[in-house]
Amino acid sequence: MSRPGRIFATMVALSALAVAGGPGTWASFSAGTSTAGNRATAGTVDIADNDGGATAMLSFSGALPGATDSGCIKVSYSGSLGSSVRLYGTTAGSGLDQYIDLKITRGRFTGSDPSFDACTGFEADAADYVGAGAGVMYSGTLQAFPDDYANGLIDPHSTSPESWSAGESHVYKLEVTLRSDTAAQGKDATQSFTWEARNQ
Amino acid sequence: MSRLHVLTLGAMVALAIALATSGGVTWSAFSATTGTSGSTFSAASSFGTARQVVTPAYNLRDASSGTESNASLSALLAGDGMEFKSAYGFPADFSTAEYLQSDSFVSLPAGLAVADATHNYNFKPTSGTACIYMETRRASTDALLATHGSAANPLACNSSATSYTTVTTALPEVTSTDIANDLRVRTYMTNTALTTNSVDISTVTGTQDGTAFSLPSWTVTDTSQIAYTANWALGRSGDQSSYGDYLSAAGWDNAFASTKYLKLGFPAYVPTGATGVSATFKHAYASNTTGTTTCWYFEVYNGATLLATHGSASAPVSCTSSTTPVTDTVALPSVDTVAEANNLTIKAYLKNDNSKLASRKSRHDLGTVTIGYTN
Repeated sequence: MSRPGRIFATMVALSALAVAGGPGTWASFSAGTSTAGNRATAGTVDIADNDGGATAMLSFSGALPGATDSGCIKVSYSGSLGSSVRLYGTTAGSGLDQYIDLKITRGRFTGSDPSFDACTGFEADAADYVGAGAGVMYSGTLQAFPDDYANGLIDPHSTSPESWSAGESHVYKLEVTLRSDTAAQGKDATQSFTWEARNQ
Repeated sequence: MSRLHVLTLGAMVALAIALATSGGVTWSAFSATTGTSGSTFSAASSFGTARQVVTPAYNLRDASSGTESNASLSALLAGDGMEFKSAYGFPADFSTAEYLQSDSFVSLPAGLAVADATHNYNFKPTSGTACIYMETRRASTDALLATHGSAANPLACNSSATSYTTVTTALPEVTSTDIANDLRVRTYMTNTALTTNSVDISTVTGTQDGTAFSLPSWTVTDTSQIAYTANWALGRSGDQSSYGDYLSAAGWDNAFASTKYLKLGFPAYVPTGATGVSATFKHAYASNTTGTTTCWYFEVYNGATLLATHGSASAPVSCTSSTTPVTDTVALPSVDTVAEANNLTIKAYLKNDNSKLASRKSRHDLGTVTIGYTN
């Protein structure tokens, strides 16, 4: 094959690889020369909370209308890459979630951190994020609370997403109340609460 | 590498990049999660039934003079210095036409079972020896329920003019709140000296829905000679003809004073564990003297703890210049727990604008609280 022919064949092969790969993950071309002392390392995204591995944060059992529970959780970021954070959760059960009011308030602990999930010393952020009071990020039913990252609550609000940096932490106070509705009788629900950090 | 090779390689790279971007490639982001799982919630299988109780204040303290005096329902408590004395003497022998009769106020929620119903009573003669026996009846129809004792075998007798004899009588015929709310107790009396007899307590106690209650006799019919019926003043409005008004002991000041008030205490009827508690206060009052203006405002207490103030010295709940009672109905949002509903006291402050103290008295025809709850 002539030289132009070999070049053309190479281009066709590369094109075929691009098509076959489809909407996939591409390794970038890279080139470099290495010399002693030169390094490239990836940044990190790392988020944690103070629950110490505990599972349940909120609960009520055999509850009557007006039953409430509340708890606080401190979420801390230690990644090297600036990240946005969203809140969401997974709901299961027989439909009680539509009769439970959930309020999430963002803030901080003044003084020493209490043990999980106490709210001693909790102080709400001054900003009224959603028009429901200082620091309130969410006020609605458990059913309407987002179920995935795509629909998650942007911390602290979609109009002013925060880029978390290493060493940053925030406290979230979660409060639940059972509505007065006889349709809720005998129903139940389980709920997880997730904070996900992404660097893009 | 020749210039052709460089140019060709660059074109290949550019082509590859163009193909990759035109193919809509998704790049993965670094991410991390944290959180909690396992929060659990369950609702009771039944939220209960909405219920309502209505009761007058039976405990009344009158501080219109600046010093509290007991003006409570006489049948409420034994040994409180408040007693009912028949207007005339009773005969030496029992007569079906000679008795003291008392009815319950409709207070308890309807349709509930009652256990351990008991009539609590005491009596004494002014002189001589008094004896009693008793019937229970339905107040609405006067239908006989049961007889306790008889003319031949009285329930009890008392020869002491200074000490009351207490009679506690089980009432197995009172099996529901419907009966308890509609209960009439007719006590036939004799007196060997043909003198008056006195009663210091007359209540029906029991439990409903697991909660103890006490229903005082709020109305008394005295047939010792000319029959008359006296209602507890604060139980029903518009019953002045049945001695159903309370007249303040003294005239009020021209301005409100913290030491001058009427204090109304209510009985406890809301069961433990009840939810959705709410309360409304009804007060009917009037000026005692035509052409004078009486005003009032009030405070709400859980025992000795102030819950709320309704109206004020500068903005009273209302005023009236009428001698016909006017009624104010005021919601009490501060009363929203069982404890607050069962330990409720209202302090009503009044003033009157007349120049003469004696003309500044007030009349009170109703003082009830309606409590809603679910259980």
